[in-house]
Amino acid sequence: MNTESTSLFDLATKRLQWLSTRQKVVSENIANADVAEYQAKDIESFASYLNDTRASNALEEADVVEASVSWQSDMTGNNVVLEEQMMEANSNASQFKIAANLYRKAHEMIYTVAGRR
Amino acid sequence: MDALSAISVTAGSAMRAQGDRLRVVSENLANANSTSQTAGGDPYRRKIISFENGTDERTGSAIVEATSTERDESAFTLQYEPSHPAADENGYVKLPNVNPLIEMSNMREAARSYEANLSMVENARDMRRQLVELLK
Repeated sequence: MNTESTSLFDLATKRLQWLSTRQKVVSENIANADVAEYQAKDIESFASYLNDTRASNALEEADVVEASVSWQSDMTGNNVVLEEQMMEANSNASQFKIAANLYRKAHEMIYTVAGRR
Repeated sequence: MDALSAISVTAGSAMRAQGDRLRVVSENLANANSTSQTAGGDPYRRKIISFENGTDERTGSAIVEATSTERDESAFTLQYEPSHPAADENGYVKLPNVNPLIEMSNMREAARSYEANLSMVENARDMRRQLVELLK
């Protein structure tokens, strides 16, 4: 039913996929918070992820990159800041909730059109 | 394997590693006063655990492993106590190189890291629940 180039479902699905990859990377950072010489990681921005996956229909994983924002590294060369990562994790979780609700709303719109509700 | 399930594997391995670290801390603390059985012999030497990142063979997700426990080669403290069974010919007893203060802070850090990983598991579970609710 969607005539636009990007549908609401497509966008929400990609957002959910991007956020879960991001959460995975954050969780790896937290897990490695006490490993010597571990460098914190992040993933590409959502804009660049959208750009990369515009052509393909398959749901791809976002590219993992080195985290740019890091305050310092400790004496073992580990630059994971646990507090920063926990804040990232929480913001990911709430954005995930928003995207999931967006998906649900899109679904409800279809229901409305179909006259089921 | 999807990202949300991989979180459980990653955080789970990290929790296990932190648990191992806590075990080593408690071994050190328990032996904080263990002197040698023989006169002039070496007492308990403090253990150090080290972590390494690896890949889970079954799922291919990143994990953390407690690879090895080494011994702290720092010097023992000497205490003059001629009547002690472990005292050497000059009357000095070697005491373990365990510093309770270091062990306690190590313990705190392990517990905090454990908590951080646990909340990641909860976070991932919450996200998965929201996905499942889309089906309703």
